[in-house]
Amino acid sequence: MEEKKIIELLILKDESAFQIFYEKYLGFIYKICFFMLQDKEEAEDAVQNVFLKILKKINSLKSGVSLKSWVGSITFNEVKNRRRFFSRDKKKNLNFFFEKRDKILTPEENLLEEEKGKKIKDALMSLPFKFRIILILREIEDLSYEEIGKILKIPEGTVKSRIARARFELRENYKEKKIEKM
Amino acid sequence: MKKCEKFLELLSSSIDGKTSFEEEKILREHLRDCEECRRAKEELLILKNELKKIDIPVPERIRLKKLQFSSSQKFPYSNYFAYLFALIIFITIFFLWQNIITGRSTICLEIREKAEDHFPVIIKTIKIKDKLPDDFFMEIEANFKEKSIEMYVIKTNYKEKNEKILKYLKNIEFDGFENKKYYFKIYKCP
Repeated sequence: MEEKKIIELLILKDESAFQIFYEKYLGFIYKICFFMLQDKEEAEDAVQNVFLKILKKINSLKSGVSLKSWVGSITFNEVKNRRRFFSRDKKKNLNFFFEKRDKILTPEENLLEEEKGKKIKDALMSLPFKFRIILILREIEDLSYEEIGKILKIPEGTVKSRIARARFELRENYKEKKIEKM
Repeated sequence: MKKCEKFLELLSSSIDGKTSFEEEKILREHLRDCEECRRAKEELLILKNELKKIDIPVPERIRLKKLQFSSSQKFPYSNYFAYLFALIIFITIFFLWQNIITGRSTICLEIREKAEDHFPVIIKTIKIKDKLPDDFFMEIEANFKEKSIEMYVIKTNYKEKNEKILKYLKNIEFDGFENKKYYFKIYKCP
């Protein structure tokens, strides 16, 4: 269903449009909440809240605005607000990362991939809030600089420089994890 | 990599294809001579690739929640009124139960040596689990014996309450009374 049509039907509180919208954006919203809040239960709670807010605010959605940017913006505000009330940089044992695999690996390859996956995860989770969110939006969600700018409400120039800084800090964190392991 | 700081942002933008033709040219020239930056670019590409592999499955219970979520959303405020109404009903029933159905009263017991005496020997108040009318009264002749007290109702305006009141009176400890007749006047305390 076309995005414009979904928005029209959502405003009319159409059930089937909501189901389509829910299925389409659930993963996107959940990933942001999960990575940023670093807690599975809190992420689930945040997801519920985001959808509630979306339904309340749907009438205020301006035409021409990308639905994904708008949803991303509401999600970002939700995690930002939650961060204020809960302890910052909570590091919990989050052992539910799965990796997308294109081919079947040998047991040795599997082990190596798992180790690499854990290292990158740890390096990502160790990043400060503003770096983590920008890399999630860029690298995991594959959003454009423009879309990221709309979600985080920052100019494109700032998106560019912040992504660069985030990448280099991630690189440093990743190297440190390597050294720790050795 | 201090000398290369101005190229770091270019490196990152180049990975995303966000450099202009001129910027790309400048970067290429720099990379030709800088091994550190070449290594940095390689590592950034590897990390980008690793990040792309990360996937988080959405928990089943959130997927399942959608049906309840969407059906409740049509009437977002009705639940609140339902709870408020239920609370009001509960409170009303509770008070009715307390005051009418079960009810409690406090009765005053004046004990005189003779009915015509002005001043009672003792006044006691007794809480009972019964709702008594405000004008309730009872007069009893109590015969204190060695090991027991015999009570006779002389007068009352609510005969049906006799047995209950006598039961309460039997549970009271009457210390210091002589073995003789006393006069009890019972009424609902003001």
